[in-house]
Amino acid sequence: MPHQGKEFSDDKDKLCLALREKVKQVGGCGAENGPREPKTCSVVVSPIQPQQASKLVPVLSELLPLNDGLSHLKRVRRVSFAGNAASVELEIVLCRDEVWEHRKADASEVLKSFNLQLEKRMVPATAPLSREELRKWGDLWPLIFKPGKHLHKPPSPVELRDMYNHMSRTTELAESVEVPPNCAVAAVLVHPASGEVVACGLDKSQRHARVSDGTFTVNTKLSHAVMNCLSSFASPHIPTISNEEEQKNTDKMGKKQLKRASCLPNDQYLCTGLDCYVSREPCVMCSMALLHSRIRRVVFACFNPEHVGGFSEAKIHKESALNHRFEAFLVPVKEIDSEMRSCKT
Amino acid sequence: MFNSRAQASHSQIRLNARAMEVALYEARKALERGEVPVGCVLVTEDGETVATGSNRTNERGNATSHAELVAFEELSNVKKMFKKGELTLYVTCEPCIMCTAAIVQMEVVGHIVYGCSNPRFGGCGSVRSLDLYRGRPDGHVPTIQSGVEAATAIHLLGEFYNRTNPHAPKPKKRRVKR
Repeated sequence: MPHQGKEFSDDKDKLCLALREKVKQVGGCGAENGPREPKTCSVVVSPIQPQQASKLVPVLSELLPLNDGLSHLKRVRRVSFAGNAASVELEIVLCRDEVWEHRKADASEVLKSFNLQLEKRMVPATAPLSREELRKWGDLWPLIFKPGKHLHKPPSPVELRDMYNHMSRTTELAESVEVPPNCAVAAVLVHPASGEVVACGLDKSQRHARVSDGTFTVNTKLSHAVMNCLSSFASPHIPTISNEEEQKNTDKMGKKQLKRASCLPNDQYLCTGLDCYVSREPCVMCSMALLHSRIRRVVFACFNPEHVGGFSEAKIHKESALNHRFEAFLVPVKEIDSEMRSCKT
Repeated sequence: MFNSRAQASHSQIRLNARAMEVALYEARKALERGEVPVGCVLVTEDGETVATGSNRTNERGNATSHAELVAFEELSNVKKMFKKGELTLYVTCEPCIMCTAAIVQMEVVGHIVYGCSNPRFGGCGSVRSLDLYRGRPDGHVPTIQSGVEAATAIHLLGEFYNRTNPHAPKPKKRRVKR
């Protein structure tokens, strides 16, 4: 019926809107949730004639290179006067204010012939991380923007809906199997292209079972959902040098079959390219375990006030000192569901 | 007074050396298996070894099977109850962030002694520090001692990295910058 079809697509739109509003990227560079206010620092600038620029720029890049964290600044900017549009004047940046204090003596000797009138000006102290920031901060001083590893691409509506579907299934799984002293936490590994679930794990840490006399059993403490999920996915079948030949033989005989899901490539290395869905934000241990496993993306439904959050607090998924970086998303399934329900009534 | 304290620290040094010897032995075993050579040992206050562990990441295809977690697995089979901070952990290399978090959550380790530091992954000061876990109701934050037999640990790691890791993925080609 056409009426039903319309309602269905309305529902879809509502979900889409709710997702765009509620889903948040966690941690990260900070530019995900709109452009930030620029941090500024003071630099020394001077107005120059346009004819001077071609001579002065090479001299300055030799004498005072902008490599002390100001490489995002363009050297020269155009200053237009409201009254006289025909006369173009330029402004050139020399260096940081405090650097000028040190270099004053030798630099002014070289720059004497250019007849500079020095002024101080506030400019953005850090490079812009998104095009919005480039536009907003560019009013202070023209900037160089390098879209690259820092560029934040928001997930597409299709991706958002996939994330929501997997997340709500994971939350349902977590709630359906709750066994007190364990927590109702589940973790699921998903192959994003096919949408196939390749592994899952439940919390077996019994962390709510405390013994009162100050001693405790240690056997289950680290059995968190993510850790269980990762070890259930781990495959000891990766051929090593010593048993590569043996592997070939067994492959021929067809005795030993890889237990990998069909969607994964044969040379799957750890969890490369996979997404992890957890019903609650992983602790630092689990987050770092996901990093060691080279996960592509982590999605969770709520924060965990009990533990130090691996993403919201420790921010290890964006730590440049570590060898792998990935995205973390908060998809508050409960909130989205209740919003959908309130929209319907 | 001074004398007895000197003796105590002397015996402590001897205990450290002996325990670290066991950890290094574990690391060498890992190297023979083609793993990154890291080994560890959990020791009680009297110097009794309760669990040992060495890196098994390649063997299990599981990136979380670090020496420390393998040792904790072994510890879980020990039919004994431990008090908070009762054990000392000797590791040849600084525990990574994951293992440090595990140590804090396990609560049984009161003191960590490690060899070389780990600027790539270290969770005891190199990339993240123990301050992350302070002031929390859960967990026990241990004290740290570093640099015990560091040279030997580094030598072992060097021996591993001089070989090529057959399990590592092929590096992606980098764009050549002009």
